Amino acid sequence: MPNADTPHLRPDLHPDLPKDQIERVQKILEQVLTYLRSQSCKLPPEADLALTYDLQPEVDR
Amino acid sequence: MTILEAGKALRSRRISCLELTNRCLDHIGKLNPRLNAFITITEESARSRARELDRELAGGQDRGHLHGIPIAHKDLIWTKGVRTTSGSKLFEGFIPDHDAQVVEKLNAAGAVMVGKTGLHELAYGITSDNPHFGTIRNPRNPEHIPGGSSGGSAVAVATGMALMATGTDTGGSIRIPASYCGVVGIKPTYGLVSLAGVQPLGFSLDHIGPLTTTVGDARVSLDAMADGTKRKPAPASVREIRVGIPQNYYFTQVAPEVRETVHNTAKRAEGLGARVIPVQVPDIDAISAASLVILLSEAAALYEPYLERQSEIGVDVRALLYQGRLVPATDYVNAQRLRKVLANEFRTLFRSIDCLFTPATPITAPRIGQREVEIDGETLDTRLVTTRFARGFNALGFPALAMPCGETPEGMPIGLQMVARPFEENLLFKLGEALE
Repeated sequence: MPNADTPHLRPDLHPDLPKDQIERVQKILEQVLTYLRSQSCKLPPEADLALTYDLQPEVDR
Repeated sequence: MTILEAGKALRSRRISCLELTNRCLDHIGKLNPRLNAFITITEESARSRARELDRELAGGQDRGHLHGIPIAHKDLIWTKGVRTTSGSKLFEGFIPDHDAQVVEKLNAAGAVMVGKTGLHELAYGITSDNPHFGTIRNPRNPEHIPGGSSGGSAVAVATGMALMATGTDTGGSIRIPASYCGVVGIKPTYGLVSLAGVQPLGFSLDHIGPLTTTVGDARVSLDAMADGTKRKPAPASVREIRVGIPQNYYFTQVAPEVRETVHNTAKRAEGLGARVIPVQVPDIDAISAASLVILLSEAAALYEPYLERQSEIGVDVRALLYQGRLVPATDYVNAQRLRKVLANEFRTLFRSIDCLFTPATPITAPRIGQREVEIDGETLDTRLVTTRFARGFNALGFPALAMPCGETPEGMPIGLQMVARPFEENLLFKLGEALE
């Protein structure tokens, strides 16, 4: 049974996908979103988005 | 033969560019039918280019380390006039009208392209078991996967079909096949190698780098692929390098032989004079979760227009693309926020160390079709296990090098991952070459 708070693929809308593939990605997404949300809810309001240029800082040794 | 060895042989006229190219083409002819590393082989143009480069050398024109070196490009990197499929039926007939910037740079450095290597469909997976172009096999044991998505590149280099191959890495796709095939692969700092002319997957996570048989070859290859002025110089001695060994996360849920071999490698680094320091790493599960949510969302956005051709996409990739469309925008935004916070935590960690040692993958190459693995009595999803140590560094953008550091009694390679601060690839090369 999919977690109500996690977006899930409906097998009836995706008859082209094997059920086991749907279950596999569902399980992974539930696990990942649950953990992400448990951590992101602790973020302070001033924490803003990472932009690509944030990934290239010169770091002092 | 390595690139550096071939360079010496070329310059002392013990071998010609054409002979070197023919040697690789012979390996391709013999091994590719079994291992399926290449989608396209550019035999004629390679020979013609090698002859041209021989004439240049004879005339005194030397382009440097890659002059006359046979290389391969992952088949999502645009090559002018040569089919570039991205391992997908969607692009099976696509012939670019210009080269990717990285191809231009490697051409200018004198490299000879022998072909285009196979990959996991759209670079979106770690097995390289491709429904359209066939299964790529691990040369150490053809019943095992080579890893992915740059599986064909790793196999080509491991077997001498090319002396270097380009790869891309969005969640470990250079380092995982390097680890599983026993070769060297570096994911450089985000943005160091231009992404222009490379089929994207996750816009803010994609990196390009070389796969080679030695660290020295990776160094000279990256020199040719990227603007060298951005990189910091290497320390004068390994003695100046502080190596962090994680006391949390990276040595749990790891195959025992991998754990032991990586610890032994840290001891060897210490023996070479590096200072080894136990450290606590920030929350890797959080950065991995953020990275995966970002990838699911960005890949789904990219391929949204192609979903009307869903029957042309393999079921594993199709399921991920559908799933990515359902990730709420709030989760994507919060993943990006969390990413920035964790990047700062990692920068803080790297004030007390210069390099982090981890296993590249918690396990050695699994069997083809193996969807679960058992570690410490727990059954885990193969895909999640395989990407567990690699994925976070795509979100952080830090350079990470995978290199072989041992093998199991069955002969399967074990990979070490070394991570440094942004633009400190030369430090990784310094330590990696010392360890070799």
